[in-house]
Amino acid sequence: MSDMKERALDTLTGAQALLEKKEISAVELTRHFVERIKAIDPELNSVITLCAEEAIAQAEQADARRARGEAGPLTGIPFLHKDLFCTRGIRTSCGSRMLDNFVAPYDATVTEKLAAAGMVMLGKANMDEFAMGSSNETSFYGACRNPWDVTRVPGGSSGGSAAAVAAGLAPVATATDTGGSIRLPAAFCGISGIKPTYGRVSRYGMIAFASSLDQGGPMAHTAEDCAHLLGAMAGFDMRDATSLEDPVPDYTATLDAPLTGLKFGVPKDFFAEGLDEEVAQAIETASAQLEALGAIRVEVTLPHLRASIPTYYVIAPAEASSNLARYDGVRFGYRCSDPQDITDLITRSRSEAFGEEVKRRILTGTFVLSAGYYDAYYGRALAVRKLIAQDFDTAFESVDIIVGPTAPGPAFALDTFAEDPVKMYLTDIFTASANLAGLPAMSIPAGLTAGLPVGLQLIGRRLDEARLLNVAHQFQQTTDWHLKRPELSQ
Amino acid sequence: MATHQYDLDALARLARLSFDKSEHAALAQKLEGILDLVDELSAVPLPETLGALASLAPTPQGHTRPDAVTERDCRDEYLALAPAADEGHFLVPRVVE
Repeated sequence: MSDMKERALDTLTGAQALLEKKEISAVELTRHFVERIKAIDPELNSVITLCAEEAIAQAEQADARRARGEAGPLTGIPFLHKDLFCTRGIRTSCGSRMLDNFVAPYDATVTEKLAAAGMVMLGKANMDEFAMGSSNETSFYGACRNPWDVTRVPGGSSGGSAAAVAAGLAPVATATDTGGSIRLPAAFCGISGIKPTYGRVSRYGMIAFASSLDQGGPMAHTAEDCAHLLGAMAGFDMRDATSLEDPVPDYTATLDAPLTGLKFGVPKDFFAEGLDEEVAQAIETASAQLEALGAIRVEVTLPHLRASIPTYYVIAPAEASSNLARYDGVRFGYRCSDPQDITDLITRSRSEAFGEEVKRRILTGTFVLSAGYYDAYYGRALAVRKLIAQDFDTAFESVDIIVGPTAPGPAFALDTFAEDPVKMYLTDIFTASANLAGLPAMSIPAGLTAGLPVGLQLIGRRLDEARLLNVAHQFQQTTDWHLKRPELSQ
Repeated sequence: MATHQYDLDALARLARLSFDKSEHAALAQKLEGILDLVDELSAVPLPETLGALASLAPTPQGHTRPDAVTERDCRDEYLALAPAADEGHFLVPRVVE
């Protein structure tokens, strides 16, 4: 295969063009990525379950569909699926020993939709256990590593999805974001990723961490690819009570709209103590680029930004402690050996199968919900959450989008925060507020510092994903950060 | 030094988790750090106009579906996932002597 053709394959739109021109078949495309996973992934550990045979069978069906003239835009496109989307007949581990033996008896809605579009699932991507983490180090299957520097983390919790796309092991991947789990790994790995408005993508069959915050979304090299994949993932689902009934627009239709007159806010609150100077400079340079494209910079503030982390670390563990109560060793998942009685069965199964971080968050959630503390912690966190949402409402009265850094710094070394979980939590400082407010937010590559990618975050109004993708696409038409690839992928 | 009032054993029992005594000191230290972090919430002034707790639901009211049986019978599939099952039941240690 020529270098030019191989390069075209690492984006969804590149592969799509070759499939449509019949220069490559879905089977050839799938074999290409399976071989890359086999060759490169031992250095990254981005894939928990490789589904080579199933993928080839799906690719054969996609080729047959194309031959019948029934192919859609995504037919035959390979992808990696974060290992918390249920897949009938294929293990869904959620990165945990608890579900190491779990083969879901049904498909998640997202799984069904991507299969209906004719996409080819290469396998299940590594992730932090139950999506709890910012580094992908809490996975039962071992840490995933960053393809830009394998001594560093890829970010979490969707670290496997991000590392695999960055290394060219799949053109696109699914991911989920509860406090930054799409945007942070996208930033650390130098790719694009969008967390849609809460309710835009169905959570049915998406293993729950914190139900009022969890949201699925796409990861890819480009905003254009994200637009294609988000269009396939999004939509109303009767089986998810929080699913939004609003129609899904064609996200690709508005990518080329000019940015003339667009108002963007850069809150000064993002530039507080703790932000890496080179990251700050990259965000300023990106803002100047948006101005050069005709957008207008407006000063706005998000006064409760710093409160988003304590708010998030009450609400998310509270919901997690409730959601994870279902893992009892009785109906599915891990069971301890020789339980003495039912209490021993439940307690020991949970204690042996959950990792340290998951146990800490369950305990935190149990504490903040316990009698005597509920109002002081959970009640107050709900109130502050409302203030955070109101800050965005106020800001969006004068701007169309908000722009800032995705993370305080570039990818950090493995084990950096092993003994200090609170410092790890602070890496979500710029991302958690969008989850708390339920707003769409995106990260795109916007620079390099010491050879490591820097992410630019774009936050939009409710259901304004199309505008975020438009701004990101226009930015990518005049910059080349999204075209950079780590050496390991060559 | 611990500043929050809780009994780690009691908390673990509520959460159906157990910890070896040798883990207690390190776990308590990390929990203290997390609780110090979330204590920052108490410093955030809350305007009186914010409303009662019940009005703070983070998401709008979700939709409902008709109260009708839509699922097919999946009993055997679900039982096949169980660590132990017999004659159509999940098996657990004896709970009544």
